Amino acid sequence: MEPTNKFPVVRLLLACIAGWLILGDDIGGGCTLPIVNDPPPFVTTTPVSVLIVEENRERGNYTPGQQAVIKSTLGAKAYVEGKGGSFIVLDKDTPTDKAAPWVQEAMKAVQPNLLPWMVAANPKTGKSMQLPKEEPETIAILKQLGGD
Amino acid sequence: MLIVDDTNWQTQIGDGKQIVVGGETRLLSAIPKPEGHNSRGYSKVFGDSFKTIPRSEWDDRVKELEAKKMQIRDHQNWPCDNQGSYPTCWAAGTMQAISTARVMQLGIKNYIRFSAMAIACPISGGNSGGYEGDAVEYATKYGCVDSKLWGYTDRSPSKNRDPEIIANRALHKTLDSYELNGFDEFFTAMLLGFPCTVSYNWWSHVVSLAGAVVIERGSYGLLIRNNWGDSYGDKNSFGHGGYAVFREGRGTPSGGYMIYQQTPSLMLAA
Repeated sequence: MEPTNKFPVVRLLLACIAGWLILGDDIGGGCTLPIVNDPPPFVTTTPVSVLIVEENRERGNYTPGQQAVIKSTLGAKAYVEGKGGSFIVLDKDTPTDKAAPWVQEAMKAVQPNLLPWMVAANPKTGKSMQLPKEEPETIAILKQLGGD
Repeated sequence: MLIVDDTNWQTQIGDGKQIVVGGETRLLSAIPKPEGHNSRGYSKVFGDSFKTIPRSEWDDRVKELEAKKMQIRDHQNWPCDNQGSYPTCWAAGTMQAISTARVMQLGIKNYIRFSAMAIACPISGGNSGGYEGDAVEYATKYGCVDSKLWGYTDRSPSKNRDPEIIANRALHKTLDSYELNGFDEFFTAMLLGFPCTVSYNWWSHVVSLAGAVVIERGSYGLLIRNNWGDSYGDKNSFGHGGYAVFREGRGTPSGGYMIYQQTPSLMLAA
């Protein structure tokens, strides 16, 4: 027996990691990885708050849906602020030492090679993931956290 | 909609040195970029980092900005800054752009009206004209000051030694800015949603940019927001004024800077 056949699970895992590193996202039928649900990536007392991290030079290349989330006063931003939460957009190189502790915590969850990235949380749980390409998907995820 | 172009630009300049708007005398006091001024000490070149968006995409992109309320003016839910009768447009236009950049990063809950005099006093004493790049440089090196601590038009140079003022500046520095050149670069910055401080040499005046406009098919303009209070120009959807459309040509800025990032000093917890 070939030695490599002794570890099929390990081989599968390595293949998945390699695929994720190469493809970045959209593995397994459009599922965006990774998502962290528990524990929340930062502490918040609001129904939902969000940090989005982008690469400013690349903003023009983001999908219309991603640009809408970043720039629009409607949609995701209006939803979060309407819930009393914070909606923050920062460049990946922005120093956060003067920022509120929750922003510093959220920044640690960002994957800088998969921008734009979104970190969102409510008091109990949260998500850390590449910003979805479509605006309605982003709003749906935020509503999972903040309610309708 | 107030549109300024080659047909009516003289209505904006009074006698060339001052004009009365909103019951106050406005001094036209901006100076062109001084020869030998080194902008690279505090800002980058826009064209080195950003690809200019081709004109073939402008109409569709502007339509989308309007439909989804993504113009910079859609974030400006505060009264237009008012420099009064002081020769500080170069500081005031820059502060309005910086306040806007902060809101677009951190949300309207974190709006701060930054004091124009807190920038103008240390540079010029607050009583003479200046160049907007000097304001950007000062904001980058030392930071801006909340007008609750240093009144927007309070010409008190001694305040600059106040420890509370110094501490406040450290929380409000400009971290990233880009110098732009030519109409297409400024229009691209508006499409991308980055506020700018801009100068017009024919006007001897500095204002901020707040949007991209298709005036007619094939004719484009930049939405400016002046620093002369709400009584100037048109209003945004919040009812706050200061806006006018400057058509390409006469309305092409002589120079200016895009403000990208401010210190993310949050006043509020999540």
